[in-house]
Amino acid sequence: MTFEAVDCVHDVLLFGSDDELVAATTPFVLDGVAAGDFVIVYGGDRHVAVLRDAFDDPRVHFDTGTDIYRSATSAIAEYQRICERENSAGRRVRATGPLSFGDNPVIRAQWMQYEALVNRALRPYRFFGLCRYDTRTTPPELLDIAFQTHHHVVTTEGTFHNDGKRTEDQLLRDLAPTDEPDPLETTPPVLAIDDISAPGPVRHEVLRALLSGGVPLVRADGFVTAISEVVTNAVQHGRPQVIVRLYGDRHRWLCAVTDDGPGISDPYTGIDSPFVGNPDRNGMGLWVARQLCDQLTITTGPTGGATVRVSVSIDR
Amino acid sequence: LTRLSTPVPNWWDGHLLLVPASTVADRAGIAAWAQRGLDLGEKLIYVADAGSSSTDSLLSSLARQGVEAADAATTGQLVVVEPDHFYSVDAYDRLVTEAYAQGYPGVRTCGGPHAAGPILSEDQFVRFEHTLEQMWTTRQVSALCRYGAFKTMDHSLDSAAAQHSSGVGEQQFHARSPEPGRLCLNGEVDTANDTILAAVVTAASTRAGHTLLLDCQGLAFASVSAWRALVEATEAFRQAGGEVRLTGLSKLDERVLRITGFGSCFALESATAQGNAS
Repeated sequence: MTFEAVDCVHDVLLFGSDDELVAATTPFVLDGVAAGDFVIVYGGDRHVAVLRDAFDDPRVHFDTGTDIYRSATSAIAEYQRICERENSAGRRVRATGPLSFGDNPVIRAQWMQYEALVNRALRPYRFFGLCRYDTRTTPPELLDIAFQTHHHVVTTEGTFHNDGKRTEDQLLRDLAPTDEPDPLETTPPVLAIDDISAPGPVRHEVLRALLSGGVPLVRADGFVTAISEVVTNAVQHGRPQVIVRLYGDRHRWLCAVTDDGPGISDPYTGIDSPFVGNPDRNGMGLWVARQLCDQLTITTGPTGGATVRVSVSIDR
Repeated sequence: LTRLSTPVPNWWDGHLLLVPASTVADRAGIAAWAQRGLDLGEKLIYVADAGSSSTDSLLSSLARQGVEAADAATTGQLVVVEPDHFYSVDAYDRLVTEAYAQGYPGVRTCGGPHAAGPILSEDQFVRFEHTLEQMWTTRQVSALCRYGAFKTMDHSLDSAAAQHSSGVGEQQFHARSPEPGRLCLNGEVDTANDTILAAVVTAASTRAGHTLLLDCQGLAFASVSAWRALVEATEAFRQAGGEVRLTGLSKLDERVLRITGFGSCFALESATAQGNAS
């Protein structure tokens, strides 16, 4: 079994037993070692133990994935960082890991989006990913997403071109957030600031509101930094006036930053790699903001005007 | 923990370079300088310029910033002087000597290249800055030098920063170099003032030896653009073999430096590690 040597490949491995997992993963790993790739196997479950026994080779890296799979956005950004580092050293990145969709519908939707975004976010890089789906435990709707988002399907029977894959643009449009207000936005805002021309005063007022609302400092500082970057983006690239609305309850805080400009046509702005390896790199602010909060969504109203919403859960 | 809620320390004493990013920031800086002098009971000497050409116009400007100085003007504690009564070594020395003779515990002055323009050439102004530096170290005269919006000023900020040992900055951010090769950063840096940070750091790198130490203990906030400015401002220094060491970093600083990859350009030391070391 051999794999195509194109720049960015994102495949799915379907397995139903430990033996199938090892049999289907073996050529992926061994081919990578032979090619001098940076090979990494993610997963905290017993599958990694099984694979570790199978590949007793110091050139194969193992990682529980606890950090990289903390959130979908973090995972994409971390892969971009690894690709940037390894590609610049002349090595392709070859990674395999499980997807943990979980039961929370919001988190699950983020991971579904992730599978489509990987193709776009890692496109500039020499990357070969193999996502592992256990057919015994994966619900049908998630297997359906797997078929829509991966270049090839890998099984013990071989590697097959995936005819069910949809184009990223089409899929991402379908998965994009709607302009529906967040449920928190139906409550009175904790803070309302109008006519913003600089991020500094917003930082101070938001921080005061968060601390008064009982948000721990350790959660507040990253959130405030994310908001500051979003406000900076609105002031620099949007049009006056820029307004901020902050909402919160005991579990979650949300900040909506709106400007009166033409809107942001791409709801995935801030996903693409800002590193040197990406020839189409843009500003880093929104990319960093996405990693400093739990969720960042971009919507454009029917008459224009971009709204960027950032939120954090304080239960985590 | 976050330092965002930490107020920016007072820095209005010494030989200072005010580089405001806007007219509003310029007026706010003058007001803070004046309030500090009033609080200390010092003599305040302001050189007339286009912004405040008389005592009345200065008082109006200060009042708009919430600083009430009418009584000080009445008693002669606050005066506005013409540039030709200020911009010579003899004239400046006379003003300072008179102020101390009047019993004031300290003296502070406020001027800048725009006010000096009709009196001094560029070279003469640079030499006059040396005089102000000496007056701070020998006679404790605080001198605030307003360079206006630095993007349009005649002198490069790099060379100007090197002449002001007590610090460079504005209301939101200032930096001080207590010794060559070490720069203490204070306040908040974002897109409004990251170019000031870059210029100050570049200036510091030209005076550093092998290592440039940037003390971030007082840095309450740094945006992505601020860290990028640090990377770019130190690029030549690092490419020439110099090491840039960031100390006193908060957990958030470290996280952003890791996320952005900018941290790989520097030797990093967290606030906790620094505390343990000392």
